[in-house]
Amino acid sequence: MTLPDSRVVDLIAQASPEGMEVLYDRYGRLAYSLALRVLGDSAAAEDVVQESFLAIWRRSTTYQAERGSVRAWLCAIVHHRALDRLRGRTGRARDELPLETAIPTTRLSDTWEAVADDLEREDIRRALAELPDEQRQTIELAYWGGYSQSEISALMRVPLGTVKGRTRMALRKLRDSLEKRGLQWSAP
Amino acid sequence: MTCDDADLLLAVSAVGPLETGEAASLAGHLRGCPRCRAIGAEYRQIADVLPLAAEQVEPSPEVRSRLLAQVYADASGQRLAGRTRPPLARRLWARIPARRWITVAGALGTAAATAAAAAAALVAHGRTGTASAPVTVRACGSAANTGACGVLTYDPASQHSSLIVSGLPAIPSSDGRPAATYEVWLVRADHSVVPAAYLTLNPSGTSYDAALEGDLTQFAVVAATREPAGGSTLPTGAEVLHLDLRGAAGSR
Repeated sequence: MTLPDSRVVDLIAQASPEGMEVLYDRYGRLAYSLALRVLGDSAAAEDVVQESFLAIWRRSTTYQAERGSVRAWLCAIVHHRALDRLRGRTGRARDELPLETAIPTTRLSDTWEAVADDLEREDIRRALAELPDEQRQTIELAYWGGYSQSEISALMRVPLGTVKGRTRMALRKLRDSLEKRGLQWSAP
Repeated sequence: MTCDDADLLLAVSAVGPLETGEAASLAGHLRGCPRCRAIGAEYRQIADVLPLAAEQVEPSPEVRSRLLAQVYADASGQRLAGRTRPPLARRLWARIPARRWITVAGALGTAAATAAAAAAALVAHGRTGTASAPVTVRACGSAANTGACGVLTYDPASQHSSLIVSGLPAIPSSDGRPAATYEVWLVRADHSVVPAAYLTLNPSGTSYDAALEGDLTQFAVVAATREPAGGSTLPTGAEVLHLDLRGAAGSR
């Protein structure tokens, strides 16, 4: 049996450098691709990846299984550090998504495993491409650009309520489209 | 805040930051609304797939080298710090104030009492703490002299073990399937063998790993051999890794 991700994180918590090797070998490419997409600069993306993995190693951020998969947790760390760098923020990088603070008790399922098993990356790209332009742009500005909803409202010259509505519609359509492609969402 | 307001903010927060004050309002609503908490989890699940949409690009090998150099330096520093702690007597001596010789007799008495207390604590720890502390065994080499190195971490409390092996020769593939497999065995002191797991190659191709279950204190050795594809019920191939568990208790 392959070492589960949660066991790899346990090893890291026990200060096992080999555990870090396994974690990087599994997710270094994904982490770098994510940081590069946000930053568009290979040197900056490499810095973010190194900082993110070192933060995990030095336990400045800790994994909580009840909040989701190791992959989703790692991506959240990389994503937020990349956005912080993109927007020139200084000081301690955020390691938690706002929603993680807002939802203290919800058990998140291991979405990533389902995605890895059931979907190809191309399916996800196609599902995004099928969104109406204004919905896809709203999601991209928020997720990849780190823009707030009011900033997106100004950029797209539409009311704030419209931006929020587009965001919600985009996520719902994305869910429906991925389900049609075979993704089975685990019950929260 | 209504559930519809919360729904909207949950969608927004899944992909980006909320406006000032919105997070607190949302958190207040969610505390009393399990339905909205479930909806928020669902939006998060959808947003979790977005990183996969990024074009996958390999980072330069230097990122891995730099990261692991730092990680191994940290780890060796921690081990070194553990090893170089001065002996108890020297630490107690250092705590005696300088030029206050009158206190030496008293300090020695304190040292004796402290040492006795430390010994008692150690015995107690041996009964309760050490027995459940994870044990790590590292070894390189085997009868086949593959140059492989393995690290086994065993948690007696959960009876979960993790085995990570680097330096194993790659197994060639035929028609997209590996021509052989690395199989892990648990070996008792009487040399009887139990098949335990298959080693799985990491996506980067640099190391193998396996999860082992059960009470490893019943076994003397963890070994790996190269077996035909699909594995064997008993070892038939060359041993590529040999980890001796005897005397491993307490090694960290």
